[in-house]
Amino acid sequence: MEHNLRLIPLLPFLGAVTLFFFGRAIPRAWASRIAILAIGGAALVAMDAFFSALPEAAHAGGLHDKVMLWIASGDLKIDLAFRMDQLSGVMCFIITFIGTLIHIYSVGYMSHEEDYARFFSYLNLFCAAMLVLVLGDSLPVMFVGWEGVGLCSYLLIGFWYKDNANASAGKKAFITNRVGDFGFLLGTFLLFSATGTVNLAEIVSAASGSDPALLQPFMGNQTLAFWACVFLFIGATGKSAQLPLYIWLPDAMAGPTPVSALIHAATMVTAGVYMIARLSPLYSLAPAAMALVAIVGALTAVFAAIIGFAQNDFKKVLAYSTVSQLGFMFAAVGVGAFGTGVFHLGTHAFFKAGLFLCAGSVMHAMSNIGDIRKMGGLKHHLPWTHGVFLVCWLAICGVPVFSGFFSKDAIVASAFGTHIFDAIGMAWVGPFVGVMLLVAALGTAFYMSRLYYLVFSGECRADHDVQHHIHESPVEMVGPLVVLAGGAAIVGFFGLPGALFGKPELNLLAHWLEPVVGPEMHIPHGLEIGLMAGSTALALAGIFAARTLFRGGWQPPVENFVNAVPGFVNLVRDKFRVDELYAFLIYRPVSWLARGLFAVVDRFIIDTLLVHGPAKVVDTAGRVARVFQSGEVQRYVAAFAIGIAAIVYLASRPATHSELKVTQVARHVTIEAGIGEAASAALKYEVDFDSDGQIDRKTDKAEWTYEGSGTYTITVNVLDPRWNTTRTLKKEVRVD
Amino acid sequence: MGLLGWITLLPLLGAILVMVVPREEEAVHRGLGLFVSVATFLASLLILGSFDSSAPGFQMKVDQPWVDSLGIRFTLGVDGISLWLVMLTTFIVPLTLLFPQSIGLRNIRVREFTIAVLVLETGMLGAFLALDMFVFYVFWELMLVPMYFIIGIWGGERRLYASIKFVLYTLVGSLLMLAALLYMYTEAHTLLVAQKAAGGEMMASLPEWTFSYEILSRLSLPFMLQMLCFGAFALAFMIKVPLFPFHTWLPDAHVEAPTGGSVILAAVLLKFGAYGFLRFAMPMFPLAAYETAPLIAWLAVIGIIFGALMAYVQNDVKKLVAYSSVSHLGFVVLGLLTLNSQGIQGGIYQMLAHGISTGGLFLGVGILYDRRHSRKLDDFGGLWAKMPVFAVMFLVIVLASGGLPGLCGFVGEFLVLIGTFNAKQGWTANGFPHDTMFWNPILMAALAATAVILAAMYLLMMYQKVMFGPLDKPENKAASMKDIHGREKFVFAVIVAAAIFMGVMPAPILSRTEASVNAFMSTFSDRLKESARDRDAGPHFYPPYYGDRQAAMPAAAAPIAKAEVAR
Amino acid sequence: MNFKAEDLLAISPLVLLVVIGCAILVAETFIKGRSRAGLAWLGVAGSVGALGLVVNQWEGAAEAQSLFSGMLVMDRMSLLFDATFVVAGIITILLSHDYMQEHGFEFGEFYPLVLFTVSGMMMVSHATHMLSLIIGVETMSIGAYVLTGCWRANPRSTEGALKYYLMGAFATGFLVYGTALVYGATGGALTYEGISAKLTAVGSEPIFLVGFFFILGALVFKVGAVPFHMWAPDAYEGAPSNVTGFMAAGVKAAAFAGLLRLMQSAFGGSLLAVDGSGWVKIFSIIAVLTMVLGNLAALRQENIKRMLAYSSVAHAGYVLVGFCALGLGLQGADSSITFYLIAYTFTTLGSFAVVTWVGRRNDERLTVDSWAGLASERPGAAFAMTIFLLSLGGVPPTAGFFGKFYLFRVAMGSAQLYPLVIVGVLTSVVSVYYYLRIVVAMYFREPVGQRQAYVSPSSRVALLVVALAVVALGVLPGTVIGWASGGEAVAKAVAAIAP
Repeated sequence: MEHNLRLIPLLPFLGAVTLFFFGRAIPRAWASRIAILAIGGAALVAMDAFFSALPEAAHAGGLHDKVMLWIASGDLKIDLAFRMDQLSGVMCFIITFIGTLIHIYSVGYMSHEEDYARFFSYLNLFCAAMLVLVLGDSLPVMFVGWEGVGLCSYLLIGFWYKDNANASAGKKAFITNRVGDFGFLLGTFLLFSATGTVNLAEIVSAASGSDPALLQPFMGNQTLAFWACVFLFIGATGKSAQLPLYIWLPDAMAGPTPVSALIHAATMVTAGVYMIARLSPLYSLAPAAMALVAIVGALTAVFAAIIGFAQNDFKKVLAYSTVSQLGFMFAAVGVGAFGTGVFHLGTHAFFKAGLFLCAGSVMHAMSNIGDIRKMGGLKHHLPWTHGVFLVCWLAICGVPVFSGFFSKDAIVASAFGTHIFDAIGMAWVGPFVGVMLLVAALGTAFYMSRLYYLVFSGECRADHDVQHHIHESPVEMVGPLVVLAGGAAIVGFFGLPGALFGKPELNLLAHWLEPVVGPEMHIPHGLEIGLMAGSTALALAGIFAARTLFRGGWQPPVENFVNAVPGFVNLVRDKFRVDELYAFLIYRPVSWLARGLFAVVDRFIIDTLLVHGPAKVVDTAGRVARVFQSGEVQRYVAAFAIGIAAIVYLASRPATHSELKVTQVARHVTIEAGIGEAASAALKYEVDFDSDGQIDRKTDKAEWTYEGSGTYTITVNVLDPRWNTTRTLKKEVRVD
Repeated sequence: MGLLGWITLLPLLGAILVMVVPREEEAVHRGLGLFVSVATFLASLLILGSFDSSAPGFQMKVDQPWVDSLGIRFTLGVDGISLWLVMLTTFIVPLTLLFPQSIGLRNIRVREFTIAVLVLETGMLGAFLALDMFVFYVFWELMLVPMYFIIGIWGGERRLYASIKFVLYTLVGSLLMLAALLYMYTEAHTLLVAQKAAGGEMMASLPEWTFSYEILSRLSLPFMLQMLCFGAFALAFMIKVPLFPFHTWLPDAHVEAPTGGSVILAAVLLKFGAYGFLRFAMPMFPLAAYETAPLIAWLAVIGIIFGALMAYVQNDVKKLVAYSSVSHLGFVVLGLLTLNSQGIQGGIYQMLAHGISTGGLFLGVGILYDRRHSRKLDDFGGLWAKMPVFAVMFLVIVLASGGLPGLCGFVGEFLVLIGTFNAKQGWTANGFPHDTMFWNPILMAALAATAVILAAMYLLMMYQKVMFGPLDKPENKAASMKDIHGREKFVFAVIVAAAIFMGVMPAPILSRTEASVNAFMSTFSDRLKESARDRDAGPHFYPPYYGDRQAAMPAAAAPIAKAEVAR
Repeated sequence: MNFKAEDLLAISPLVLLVVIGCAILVAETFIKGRSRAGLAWLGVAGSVGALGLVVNQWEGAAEAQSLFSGMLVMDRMSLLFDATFVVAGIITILLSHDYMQEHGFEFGEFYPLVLFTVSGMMMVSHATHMLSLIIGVETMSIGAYVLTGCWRANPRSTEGALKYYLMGAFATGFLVYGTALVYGATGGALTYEGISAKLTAVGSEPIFLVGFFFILGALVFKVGAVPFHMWAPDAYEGAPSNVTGFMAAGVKAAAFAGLLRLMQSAFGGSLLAVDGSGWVKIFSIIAVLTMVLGNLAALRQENIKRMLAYSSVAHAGYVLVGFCALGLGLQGADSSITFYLIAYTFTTLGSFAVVTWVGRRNDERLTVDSWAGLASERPGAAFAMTIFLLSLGGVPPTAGFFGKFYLFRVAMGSAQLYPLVIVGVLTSVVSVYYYLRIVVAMYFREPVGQRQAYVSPSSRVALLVVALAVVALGVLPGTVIGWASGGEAVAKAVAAIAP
């Protein structure tokens, strides 16, 4: 069904362009208003499409909007077209809704920033790109958004470009993303070469029809679908900060906090999850690839959680928690619970955005200090912020009835409950992932609680004058916070585990997404209930542990622990020194290689040897050639005479005959002399076939037939009457 | 003369006009040059207007006798392959003349500069449009002289070295090409005479001596001769592209050339390499092209990565951009060898996109050099605060060069890569699978695709070092570092607009190349089959000039079998 | 020895030049101390008249006619050369007057000498008899010797003249001796037809061959090909620039014209059984040596005249490639040689004209460095010089390019000559390098010191004419090719020019 979807990305894009090029001309107040109007308008159009138009188109492939033919070459046709189905609808909803909130929040947060318009234009541009990403009807169009969000993240991380660290962080983010995009491109090519199309709907239908082209062996002894999934997943790891490409996300915290909330928590980083959910039928063709996804997700979840234990920067903690939560989502889609992954994506969008904005609010209050060692006891100073943080904290810890509880629990349950790996004999993957996720959940509860207590409980550790003007944030910041908190509290109820009560339709989201990502995974009730209890217990345990250790500041046991194993603690604090490892393994070798090639191959071998070499030779020859010109006439005359002599010799030296062609048929022999010296008419030949001294013929082409068998020597005398010289040529022939 | 003839000669006439204006009248020279080049651009819009995108062959032909006794005719024509390159030329030249920093710091001899650029434009247009090999050669050489002067007169410190290097490099290639051309010319003569003797009214119309592209390109040579002639042609074109390892003249030429020279060199001149492959080397010597395709493709891939790595370690902005050209143009050549429409059209598109983006980059470097009198990356930093408008424009161009989707750079690279990825099918479909271990298009595509990472590395590194970071160096704080304004601003706006347009609406551009590219692929594969049927067959004409061999044609299945045997 | 009066009419241009020359000589004795401008213009007028006569003869000369019972021939090729030589003479005179005044060695005999030399050249191009050939060669050579030494105040001039004379005498000796041997071997044949008639019979007689090679050597000496080129650099450098141009262009072209006819008719093609391959082998060797050594030696020259001298040696090599083609009887070989010679004559004249024009008294500006920044002080001269250098280097759209192109095009007709073409192509790359050194000096360097220009309207005119001719020959070569190939293509060529 056709619908004016193009407006959704277009509005924020126009806002961005306006602010980008005319930002300095527009008064501050209006800059933010334009931006908010743009994204708000997009939100309204999205809502309209989502609630009014989508339902009736739900089972007809959703809403569609072809803008124009973008690229066409041979059998490759790429339309610039958008499609909104249940999945992209949900994404649109989240992006525009949270996007709008964060725009509003930014009005307050960036109020002291002089480069106001530029910030909002980037923000708008990001929303546009993100919407293109989710609404894109084909892989290339999706890629436009995919790269677009990368660009915006680059620009926004480096927003305060005057500090090189920020710029470098942005560059790091972009390049790491590009590594992923490399995979994304290869995946696209692979799918095109198999299905002959890059249109998502067509690929998906080909996949759900398990098209043989997708199942053909490609590399290793794996199917083409497997490799396509793997390559696309590489793209996802880049965009969604999974192992091994997560390294850019923590640095990305250099950007303004609203950016961290919007891009690096709620939306962009979830693009990978979205992409896999979107291609769920394709992934279903390659369980091995899904196992990879699930394991990487689970490991990331644990790994990031552990790093989260020892971080002292408010936003860094949240960053690693984001990485960890994204790991949960990938684990979910990896084990085949696509809907659940998207569910966690949604809940996470709310509570993590909330947490980040709280962080922003706190730092705003603490005059931009992000170090939790300087915080504490903010409960009383920032009541609203504290309240919101409280809710979101409980949500992320997975305390029952808060949104995080449902989504996280559903993931763990489907990890244990999945059977997709049985077919390929990797049944262990499900339980393994499940256990990992439980550990990660425990860790999450622990480090988030640590964060909560260190920031809000006890006495403030900031120096005096900072404490002096700690103040609650203005309403345009608190407002969004409250809304997000509300979301964090309740969105869980869209994904109630209805199956438990025999009412699957209670799980609204799963029900809604079913046409796109397939039916909800069935999980035994016993397992489900057990896990609910277990994970709740873990969450509470984590919280309690943190409470005892960090309530009102670092408690003695912590100090003891740190003193006990300082090496380990430092290692964790330094994020396991992964960045250093990469620098050592990849970055430095590459730049060394480049320098080496430049010096050796480009400058020396090619330029010096191959280019200047011949030139030098010619030049030297030139110098030599001058030597002959002495200026003495005698020499000249000598040269003249020698020249004449040489010519006379060259031209009229006795004719030389090397060839003597003998063709033999049984006893019949033919000789031919002087081949190749056509015009040597002057020469005379004497042929003696049986070398008896008698000249048998006097010509250069003679025939002879032998009577008796045996070996004979043919002798040919070549006479040159001009110089009366004679040369003799001999040749053996056997006849028998 | 016809439209094409006038468009080709218009700049030359303009140059003569400029020549007669007394040398004091600099304003007049600028104005006149600009006027003529703009007029040429408008005239070229007429070509675009009357171009029939469905016709594969040459259109708007001009055919004037020139030196009858040698069968040289002044023949021009445009098809989908040359159309956009012509447009690019007429589009870039006015911008170069308009851009205030084109002449560089030694802002002298405006008249000579204008003349050189206009003569250069005639050379470029003629070489793109020529359908007579002699005419092509004359224009090809004609480009050499003005470019030599542009580098030599208005260039930097090492301009003498750079200019002579540029000339000798180019001459070595092109003179050998001339020799090969003469050989084909004489071979064609003997055949034509024989065929006219054989009679047939079709033959009667044929000339005895001719340089006509359409006839010479039908000349089928035995394999060894194909290799020799192809070698001569390919060398000239590989140097022009430039393809690794024939690229070392480019950094020198670019670094020393004045901004205007660099822009034209990068935007148009380099395109002749790839254009030559597409127009001449490949269709004329299909078998040789087929045999050497893996080698050349690998050179292209190496060039893509090598150029990018080189760019990454440069401290001179201009050198960096020059090496990035080596990388970007590798894509073009790679695309041409895929023998599928994505690859070839992508290659053509990449030529245009590179013309816009790299041209823009050089304009940007021109601005930096003009303001700061330096090209060292370390001398810059934090300029965004100083020149925001320029920073924004430059960012767009940098991203376009980096192949960001939605800007011009992406389309070409994407098409080339997807074409390369499927190149195996392309050749196999024509009955010529490359069964050598060297021919692994998927691997090539994968390696080439790493350029998206490397490009981001060196471009963003460059951009950060120039625009970001603290504005700490006193020279950069100086008042002389003013933002772009007036004509500079206009030129950049035009380039940026072009980059965005080409990124958003490639379809209309691609659609006009499609027919010709398809025709190219079919003729190429037909001729390839024909000459692979009997690798050592004496010189003869491809169909329809079959002549005596037509009777002796085996069944259609034969060529494939032959090709396998040949492997 | 009987001949008709028309024969005299047929060589009227030649006669006219001689007459005018003598007239000037006489006049010279009457004017004392005052400028010789009048004499110069008289010479020009006479030459123009001769040119007119030549042009007038063109129509009648559609088919060759023999004069003076086979001493001379009168055909379109010779007429074309005549015209070229006369124009060369005119240009030289136009250049010389102011130049010699500037450098203070003007004397009236100069102009007659030029005219006599030209008449000698014409004789050579018409000669169809060994004696008329020798007479022609000697007339032009002696004129050239004297002209070379005519700047008495300049020791280099006299030295050059002496060397040139000694070597020339040596060569003449070979020429005469060779003629004698041929005479003996053929049993008294001296006309070209006579010799060629005997070829098959005596073609492989050692006596005959040696004679032939002596003649060959003498003429190759005149064209200055390796290894008989040694005199050229010294003579060219020593001679006054205006004379150098005349020698390098006219005398060389004339020698080639003589050689061309000799090889075409007398020792025709590959009839000559020399090791089976005619004289092509020898010419190939000489051509390669000449192209390579000439260009290499020119690479490092600091003195522009010397550099141009070596470049003219190199160009002799290119022409010899054409002779190889002639030896193999390739179609169009003679017309390609003719065209190349015409193109070369104008280009060389032009380049030396610039050399004469940039110098002042006591400041001849003969080194490359002294030309630094010429473009900014003498844009016209620099521009013209650039055209000539590009033409010498064979870059389109100039006469030189088309000449080379045409020559190589013909040579490509036989696989035997591919190597020569390759060598020619590569050496011309080398040549571009040293030609561009002058361009670099003129355009890419800043002027050193302040020089005021030396004014010479006549030189300006001459330069303009030559430059236009060079470009015209490059852009529209059709006509001249038509003339060179006996004129049957003229009609077509004319059509070609018409738009």
